[in-house]
Amino acid sequence: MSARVMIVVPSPMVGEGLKSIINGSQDYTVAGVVPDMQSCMERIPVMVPDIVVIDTVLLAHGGRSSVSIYNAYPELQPRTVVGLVAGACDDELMRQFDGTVNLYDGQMQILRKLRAASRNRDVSPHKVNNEISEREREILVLVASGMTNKEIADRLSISIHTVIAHRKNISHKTGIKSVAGLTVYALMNNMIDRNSIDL
Amino acid sequence: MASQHPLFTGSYTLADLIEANYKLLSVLSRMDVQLSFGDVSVEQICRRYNLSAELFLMICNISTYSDYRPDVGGLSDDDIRRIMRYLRLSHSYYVNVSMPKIRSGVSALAGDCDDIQEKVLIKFFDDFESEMKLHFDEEESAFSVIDGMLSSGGGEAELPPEVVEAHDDLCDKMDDIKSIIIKYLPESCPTELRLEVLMEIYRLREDIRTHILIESRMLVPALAGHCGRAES
Repeated sequence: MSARVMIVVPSPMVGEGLKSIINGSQDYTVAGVVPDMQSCMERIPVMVPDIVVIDTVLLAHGGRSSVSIYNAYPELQPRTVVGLVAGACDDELMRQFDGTVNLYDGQMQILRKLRAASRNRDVSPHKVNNEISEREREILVLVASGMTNKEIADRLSISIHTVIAHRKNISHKTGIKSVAGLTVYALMNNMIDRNSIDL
Repeated sequence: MASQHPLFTGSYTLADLIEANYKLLSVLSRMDVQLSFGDVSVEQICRRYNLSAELFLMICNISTYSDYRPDVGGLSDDDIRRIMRYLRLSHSYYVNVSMPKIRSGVSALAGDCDDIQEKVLIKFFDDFESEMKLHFDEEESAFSVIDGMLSSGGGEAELPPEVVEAHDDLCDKMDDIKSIIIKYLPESCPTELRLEVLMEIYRLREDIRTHILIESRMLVPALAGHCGRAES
C-alpha cells in the first residue's frame, strides 16, 4: 500500500509540480495540496496523511521558530514531517523535521529523501515540548491578573473556546489548574509585574 | 462489590491488616480502636469495641482497594452514624495534624524565596487552608442535619452533592501546591525539606481520596437506603 502524502505549500506551481513528482512513484499517493497551515490542520483528519511536506516559509515567520511545531500543530505529531526548503532556513526549525527536500531537488532525490524521512521518524519519534508557547504565556498572564475566559477572549479577539483550549494546555504543561496556583507560577517565573499583585 | 483482589475478612488478625496496608493504622484510630491489640481477629476486636465488623471491613477494604464497591444494603442507622464519626475524625486529623505540618514546611520553603514570592505563596496556602476548613464545616453541618433526621426516625437524609463534589477542588489545589514545590520553587529551597513537605502532601491527598470514596460509595448510598426504609 502506498503512503499518503499531504503537501502544504503556498505556491500552486510548486504544489502541482511536487504532486506530480510524488504521484509518479508507486510508493506514494498525494492525498491533497493545501496552501497554508490552517488548511493543513483542518484537512489532516480527512486526508490522514502518513507524510506531510511543509514549505518552511509557512513556519519561519513571526519569530515562532523557537516554538516546537509539534506543540503549535499537535496534529503533526504522529506523522512524518518533511520541510520543503528553498533557501536558508533556521537551524532550530530544521532540527524539528524528520527530513527536508530542496526546491531544486530532482525526482529521484525527492523520493529518496521522503523514504529516509520515514525511516528517521520511526527511529526517533517527535517529542512534544512542554514549554509554554508565546500565546499561552500571554493568556497565562491575563488569567493570573484575574481576567475571566470571556474577558481574555474579548481582549485578544479570539473565541472563548480557543481560550479554554489554551488554558487546558497551560494546566497540562505546568501541572497547575487553579487561578491562584497559576498566579504563583507566573510570579515564580517573572511573568507578571510584581507591583500589580494584590496581596 | 467486585474487586480484583481478595478482600479482608473477619478472620484476619488486626496485625495482618496493618502488615498488608500500614495506612490502615489511621483507620483504627478513627474507629476508636487502641493499639496493643495482640493477635486478635477483626471479629474479636469489633465485639470488644461494639463495632459492626461488616462496616469495619468495608472501610478497611475501601481504604486499600480503590476498585472496591461495597454493598451497603445491610448497614444500619448506627453504622451511618459511625461513618459520619469516622469522617469527622478524619477532618480533625487533616486540619489539626496534617495541615500544620504542611504549613510549617511551606513557610520554611517560602522563607527561601524573595519577599513577594513568599507572600504570594503563603497567601495561596492560606486561601487553600481556609477553603478546606470551610468545606469541612459545611460537611459537618450536613452531618448534624443527618444526625437529627436519623434520631427523629425518618425524613430525607442526604449529603448534598455539591458538598461531595467540593473535594475535587481541594484535590486540584493540592496538586497545584505539589507542582509548585516540585517544579517551580527557586533552586535555593532545600531539597530535603521539599521532599518532606511533598510526602506529607501526597499522604494527605491519598487520605482525602479515600475519604471521598467513603462518602460517595458508602455514606451516600447508605443514606439512600435509609430513606427507602423510612418511606416503606
